[in-house]
Amino acid sequence: MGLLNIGVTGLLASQTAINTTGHNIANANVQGYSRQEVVLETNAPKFGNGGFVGNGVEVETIRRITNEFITQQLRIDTANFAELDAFAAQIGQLDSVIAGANTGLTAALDSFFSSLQAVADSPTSLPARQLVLSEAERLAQRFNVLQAGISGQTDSVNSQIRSIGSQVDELAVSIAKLNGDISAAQSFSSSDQVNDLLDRREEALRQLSELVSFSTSVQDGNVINVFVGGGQPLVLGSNSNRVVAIDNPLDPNRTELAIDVNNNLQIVTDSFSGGSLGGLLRYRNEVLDSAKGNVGVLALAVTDMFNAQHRAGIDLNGQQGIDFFTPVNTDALMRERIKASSNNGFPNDRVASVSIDDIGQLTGSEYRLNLGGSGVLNYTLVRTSDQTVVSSGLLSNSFPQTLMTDQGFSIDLNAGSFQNGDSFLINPTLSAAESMAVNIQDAASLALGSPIIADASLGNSGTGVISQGGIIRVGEVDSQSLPAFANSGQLSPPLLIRFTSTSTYDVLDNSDPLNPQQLSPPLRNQTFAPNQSNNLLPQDFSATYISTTAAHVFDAQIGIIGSGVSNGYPDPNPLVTSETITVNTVNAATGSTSVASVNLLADESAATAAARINTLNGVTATANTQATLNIVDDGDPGLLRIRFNGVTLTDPALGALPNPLTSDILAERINQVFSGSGISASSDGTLLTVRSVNGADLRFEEFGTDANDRLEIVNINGAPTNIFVFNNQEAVVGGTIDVITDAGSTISTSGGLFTNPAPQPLSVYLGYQVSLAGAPDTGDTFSIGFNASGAGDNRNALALASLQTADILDNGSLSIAQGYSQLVSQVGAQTGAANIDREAVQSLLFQTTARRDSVAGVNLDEEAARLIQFQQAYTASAQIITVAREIFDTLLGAFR
Amino acid sequence: MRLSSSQIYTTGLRGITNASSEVARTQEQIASGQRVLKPSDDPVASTRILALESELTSSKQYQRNIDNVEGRLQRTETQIDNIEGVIDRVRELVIQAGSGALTNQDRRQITVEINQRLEELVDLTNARDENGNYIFSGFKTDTEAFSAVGENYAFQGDEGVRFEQIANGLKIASNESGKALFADIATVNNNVVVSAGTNNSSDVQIGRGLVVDQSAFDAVFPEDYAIIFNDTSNVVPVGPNYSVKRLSDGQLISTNIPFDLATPININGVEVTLSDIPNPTDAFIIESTHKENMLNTVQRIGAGLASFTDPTERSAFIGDALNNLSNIQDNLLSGRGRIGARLNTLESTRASQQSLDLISTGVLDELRGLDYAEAVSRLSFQSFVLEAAQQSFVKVSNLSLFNFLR
Repeated sequence: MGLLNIGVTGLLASQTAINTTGHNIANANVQGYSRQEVVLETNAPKFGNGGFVGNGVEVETIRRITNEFITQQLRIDTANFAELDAFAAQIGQLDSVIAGANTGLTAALDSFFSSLQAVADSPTSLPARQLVLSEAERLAQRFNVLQAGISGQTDSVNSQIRSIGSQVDELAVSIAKLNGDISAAQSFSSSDQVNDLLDRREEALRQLSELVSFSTSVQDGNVINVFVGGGQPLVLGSNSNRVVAIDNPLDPNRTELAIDVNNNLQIVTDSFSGGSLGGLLRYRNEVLDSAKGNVGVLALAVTDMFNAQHRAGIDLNGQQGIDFFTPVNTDALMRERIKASSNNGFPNDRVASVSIDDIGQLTGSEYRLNLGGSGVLNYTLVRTSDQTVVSSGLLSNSFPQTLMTDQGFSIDLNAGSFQNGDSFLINPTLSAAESMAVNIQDAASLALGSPIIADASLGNSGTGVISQGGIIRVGEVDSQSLPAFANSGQLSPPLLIRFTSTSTYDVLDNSDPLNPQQLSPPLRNQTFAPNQSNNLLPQDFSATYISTTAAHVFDAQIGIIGSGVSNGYPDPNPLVTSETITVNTVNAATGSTSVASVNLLADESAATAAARINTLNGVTATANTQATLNIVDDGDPGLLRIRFNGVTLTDPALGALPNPLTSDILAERINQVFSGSGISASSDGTLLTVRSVNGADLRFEEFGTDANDRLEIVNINGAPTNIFVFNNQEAVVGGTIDVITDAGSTISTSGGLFTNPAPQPLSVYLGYQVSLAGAPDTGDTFSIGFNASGAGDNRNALALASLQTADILDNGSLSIAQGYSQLVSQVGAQTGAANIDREAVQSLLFQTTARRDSVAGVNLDEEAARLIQFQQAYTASAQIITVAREIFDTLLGAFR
Repeated sequence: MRLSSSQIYTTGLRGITNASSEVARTQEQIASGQRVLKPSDDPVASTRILALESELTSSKQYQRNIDNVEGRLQRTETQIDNIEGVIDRVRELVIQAGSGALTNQDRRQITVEINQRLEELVDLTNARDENGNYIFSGFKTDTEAFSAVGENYAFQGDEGVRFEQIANGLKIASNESGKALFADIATVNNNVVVSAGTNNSSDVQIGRGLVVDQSAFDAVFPEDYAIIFNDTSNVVPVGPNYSVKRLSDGQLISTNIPFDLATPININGVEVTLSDIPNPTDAFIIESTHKENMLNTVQRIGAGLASFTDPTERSAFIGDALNNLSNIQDNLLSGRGRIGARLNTLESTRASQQSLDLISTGVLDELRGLDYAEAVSRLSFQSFVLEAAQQSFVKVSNLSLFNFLR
């Protein structure tokens, strides 16, 4: 009996072993299958017949051969590899898009600039102009395609995240179910393992690790809890939390993952890492966002600088240039750049917009504007790329209002119920490259000429050569900011440069060439350095003009000759006895302020006062004295006797005099005696005008004795007056001082000359500049006018072409091409690094997989051997049964 | 170490995949002839490649510009050459006319030729390029450089100089304004330039502008004057009349002078004619100068040569004429000198651009180009590895104990 039983146990055990081997062979190619092994145990012996007699064999358990540490390592390596693999796959696409011959920018930029160089050769040629337009369109299309490629990646990343989210969700559900099944199964036999279910769960966890990194904890020995993203429970026992893909409330174009914990959606995107999800998120945050921003900044930069330069020119029809590309700050684009969060409170009525102010400051990042507080709202502006608060403060309670930033843009909050808790997404570069388009339709509207042209008068006797001139700061040539170009097709006003000596000139309004007038504010007695190149017009945008107030200050005083009549300074009437002029200058480079001042002296002439003000940095002072006199002579011979600045003009020694005395002869005398001293006179037949371009005092004395013979001063420095000088009287006419401040300088005064009435800072900035070299003679004139019918002018074409090397990006340190190649090399380096990392992690993963396989994988040779082994054991056990039967038969036979 | 059966397959497969992807990459490099296919292949080289490619594109454009400018300057030079020839001939004729053996009748014959030469000069100064643009008009390329009103030629262009970029940071002028070449020429005698006021309501043109009484004019030189037309009711009988204003001080030197279209206006020895009767407030400016344009000089020589009976006056006139003509020659010569200097610059710039191109292309080749010998031997090695991997895989995968379980 015992032998039969022993044989049967052997038979059963071998059968189980053969089954298990068969199971191993059958599952050899199943992912995640761990080979199984039958653990045999000798049955407890029975006591008898003088000892313990063996009782056969039994199957103790079927063991699953695995190693928990290797499994763990495999998950980690899988997650790492999946992350780098996803990252490398995405960035590889971008890598080939931005440098591709058909998608990159460089070639399009190069041929665009070449076409501008070509049109500079023949600006009147319509085919050459048309080529510029076609190349510009190609460039715009390149930007469109590039941005579309990047947007396509955004969409693809979004849909991948969405699909990964649902896969994670499914895996979580199946892991939870397996947890339940495993604990249910193990409740039958706590000692035996549900090998195949465990394998399935392990494989599910491995698959999950391809998607995302997670941590596990084992509960009650057989349940595995899964946590993702820094402790968010994904699977707890036989329950799983749902993972849902949703749109970002600020940005619908950004898919986020949320975990549904008790019907409460929490966005946990940022806490996910590892796995292909981690790779996608890292790509989106580290590469895609900045590439998108950078391409947008490039598009804005190209658009803005070309528009500005093009507006500074004139086209074939003499019209001011229009925007070259669709402008940067259209209403639609400005509104598009700011988006209200879908979580903002009702009503949904806020109107806001973002305008681009300074391309050089743009970073390409997105920004978040958050409003908070009750009553008076405060705001914070956060740069998304590095989560830095770039600006914060209080809002005022009235709208519209503008928030200025130092990030290259400003935010207009126009109207609506802005309230606590509002947040807005600001994307300054949004759709800049996508919507880039050429704005000019007609080749003739290409503005290749400059609106101004300078011309030397043919009557000039000096050697002065004037440059053709040009616009100083592009981007301001429109009717709002520069009155000079307010009227299309003309310069308002045309200018005449007239040299009042070899080293001074006036800039005059040449609207009436027969009678050029001083500008308002005037630019007179400007200093010219002969034989070198001089800029003739104010160069600083913020240059302002402050003047002493004409006749009121340096007024003519009248008194008996020799009584010490002064030029009227200090003002005899008010309290001022002296005046301090102070100039504050801010050094643009260092930001430091320097302060300097001078005191004006009593009875000082405008000439010396101006000279001393000129010793201060940051200001240029010029002085000018002008008096117009009426000569009244009743014809009694010799009774009108005039001395001017100490010289007796009526001295017969100087030549015969007409009777009555005329202004003509006096003008001639003054010009003759004072030649070269800056004092000149002219007569229009009745009135005598005497001018000092240095601001010297003009002293008129009349020492005749007839009250009917007199000098009448009718105008001083442009202001009418009426002063009679006769019978041994003298009058002194003082000058005015014009002060032009440089950019960054302000002038203040203790009161007196410059405050009676208060000085008006008037802009003298014209917006264009011409330079003059050589040595002009006194009286030489140069005119600056509108460049009508200058079809062959290519100055603006050259200026447009020179933008190729203009440093405009990154606070003026990079050109467009440099900015682009920086992006290319950045993406290239990142791609290279990602590929290398991916290779490294791949071989790690390969090793770990090999280790796992070498422990848990099925070896068919081994199984074949086992098959033979167990088959033989089976045969042997069967033989035991045969023997037992034969023994039994022998026994039965004995009784026969 | 224990091996599972699947390991045998995955290891073998991985070897084959790696080897074949390397073969494919090398093959792509050989097919394109480029070592750097994507920026990630060599990020540092790829930015330099972009920069060098831009440089080559610009350089190509610069060389086209050099060709263009050269063409323009040579055309300009040829025109000046021709003009010099004409002036030389006029000079010969003037010298010939100075001979005491000639009669005024002979001199009239000479003036006929001078007038023909003048026509030729007008054509030459109004030369156009292949696109029909006037080459001596500055920026006003669709305006004739010189046009005549009566007997007076006036420069209609401007001083515009068109620059073209021929190298990084190097621009060169591709034209010469007729103002500097032909108009801005010093003369022995003081002269005038006449022009219609820019604010005129009529398009009446001013002509002649001839100094008929040099001593009267010299006495008032360099005053400028304006002829300003007044309301017709200023004179009796009612009719067009004008005043003359001295521009330096605004003084009216004569007022309300009746105007007769047939009679030239004479102001201080200067005669001007008008093409029609202007509107009131229209103004015409007489600007004094010591310069004269080449065409007027020749025209006046032609007009004056046969008009003298007094040999002293005639020889003085001829002396002045010869001086003026040599001023013109000097001016043309210096214009040609400027052009010649520019042509030299173009030549040397072209040479340096070309050698820069060679360098750039060389560097580009080094950065991007493929060493074919190396690549081909690499390819054969890689295919060898691939074949070995395939063969060993087949060998190993055939080894199974089951093969012997019969």
